[in-house]
Amino acid sequence: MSSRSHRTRTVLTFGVCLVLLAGVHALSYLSQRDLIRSIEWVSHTRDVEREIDRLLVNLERAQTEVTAYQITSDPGYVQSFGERMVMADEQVAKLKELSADNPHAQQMLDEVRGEISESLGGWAATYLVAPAAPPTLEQLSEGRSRRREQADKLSSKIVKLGENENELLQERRSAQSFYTKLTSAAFGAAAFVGMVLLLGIFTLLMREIDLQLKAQGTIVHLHSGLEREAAKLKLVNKELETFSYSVSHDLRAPLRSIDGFSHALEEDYRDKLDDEGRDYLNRIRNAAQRMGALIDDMLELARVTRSEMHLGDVNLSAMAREIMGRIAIADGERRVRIQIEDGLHAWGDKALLAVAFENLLANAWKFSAKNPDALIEVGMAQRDGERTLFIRDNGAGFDMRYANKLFIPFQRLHAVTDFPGTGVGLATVQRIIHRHEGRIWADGEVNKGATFTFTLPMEADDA
Amino acid sequence: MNQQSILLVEDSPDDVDLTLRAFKKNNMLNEVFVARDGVQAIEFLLGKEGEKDPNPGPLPGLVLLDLNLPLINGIEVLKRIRSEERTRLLRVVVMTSSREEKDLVDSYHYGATSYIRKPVDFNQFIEAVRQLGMYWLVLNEAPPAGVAKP
Repeated sequence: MSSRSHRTRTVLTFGVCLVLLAGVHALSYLSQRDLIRSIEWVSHTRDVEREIDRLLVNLERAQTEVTAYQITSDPGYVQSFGERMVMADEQVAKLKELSADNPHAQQMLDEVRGEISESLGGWAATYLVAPAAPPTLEQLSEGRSRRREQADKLSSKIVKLGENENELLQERRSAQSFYTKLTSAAFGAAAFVGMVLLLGIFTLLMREIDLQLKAQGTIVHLHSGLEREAAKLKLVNKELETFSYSVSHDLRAPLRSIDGFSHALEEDYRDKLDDEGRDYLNRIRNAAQRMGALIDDMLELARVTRSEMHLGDVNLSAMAREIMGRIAIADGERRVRIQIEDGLHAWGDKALLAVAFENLLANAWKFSAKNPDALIEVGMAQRDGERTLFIRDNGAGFDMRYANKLFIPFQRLHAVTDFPGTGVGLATVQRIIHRHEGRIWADGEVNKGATFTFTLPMEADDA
Repeated sequence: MNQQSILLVEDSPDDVDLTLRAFKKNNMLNEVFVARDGVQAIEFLLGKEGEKDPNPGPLPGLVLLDLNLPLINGIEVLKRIRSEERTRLLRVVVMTSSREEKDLVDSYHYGATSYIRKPVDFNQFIEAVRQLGMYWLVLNEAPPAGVAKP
């Protein structure tokens, strides 16, 4: 799976989880709000019931007090009758206030209020004024039963009100239990969904962590592998260095003995040798010296391959002039036209590029030796939008059929007797150009000359 | 020619013979002492280690030092020569097969007077020895004997 689609999937999953969680929490919030409201309703209904009880008690007392006054004529019983009337009125008003949401109760309360004031007011007017004569037993009993009747009627009405309110309470109770159930269901669902989501996220995260750990493990493994390879390479390089050091020392020493004692033989025993013997000795010496040259060139090739690069801007025009000058001085007898373009430069290792130029320019000098009108050119050309540098001579040239053999070490296209050399020079040049991420190729024609063209980085970023 | 002696520090008998031959070819008649390893070279110049009163002979005018030596290598010999008061200013020309940069750098770092790579071609070797003798034993003004530290 690509990391992009993985990412998209993660974002989507997370979005869905968020929406689910938010929905569940909204639901549980709503049901909780309703629950609180229904709890409030229940307590409200209780308040109404309590108030109804108080009113009933008040009325009952009023009735009883009037009866006691009638029997005893003691005004102490009815001294607070006025207060009772006011209290009853207040109690009804409070009930109206409490049941403001219930139109039926309001209506009933209005009736009750009228009847209370009528009954109590009637009692006050009929029984509480001082009678001319004490009432008869009959009168007493009749008044009492009438009051009883009135009080009962009132009570039943009030009780009905209470029943009405009680019904409401039952309704609300059942509503409350419904909301309680809904709330707990919503909370349960929220908790469940939350847990499921958490589990999902946990699983996803664990998988991510595992994947990452695995990737890290792979990286660490690769890294340690690379480190081991690097250490091995370092060891091999070290061995190679030791090897070329001992080649440099030990392989050359016997050659010196061969050449030196051949020289001694030639000088000290000249009389005892005929021409053939002296020729053999000469050949021995030539062979020893040639092997010495081969060893030197091989070491140079190895050095060029492994030496550390110190990069910088190199003035190739100045470098070519200096090297050409040195070659011309060493071989002062020849007249060669030299044309070196100004402003040639490259980004590279000065010492390595000098070795490359020395080889190329020495070749140009060497192979143009048989042309009396020799010309060596160093310049720049654009080729397919790319800058190329070239070193050209009008010397012996070569057959293009063998162009691919030019850069192979020890491959030569000319006899050593015609043009001396080890055949390592161009291989060395090629390695240097390759180490600069460049390319080199050769064009030539027999007896017309050769052109070596190569690319080199111009700026630090090109390399 | 001047009659200063030469100490040749060289383990290969072939090289000793060829070097002596090159001296002869150049008519260098200086007395030549040969040390076959690093220990012999140091004993010749500084006396035997541990002896109470070492009494080494007169110092040579020139030391030709090979680097690949048995027991103690050339660079170590050079270090000893430069660290001793008696031989501090001695002319030591490193003469070796190697052209490795490391040897060159080390030699000059530890105070070699000059560094010559022995060529395979014996004619070139004779020429090198000639120029060497001419320069260091004839043309060059040696520091006065017994120069103390400045």
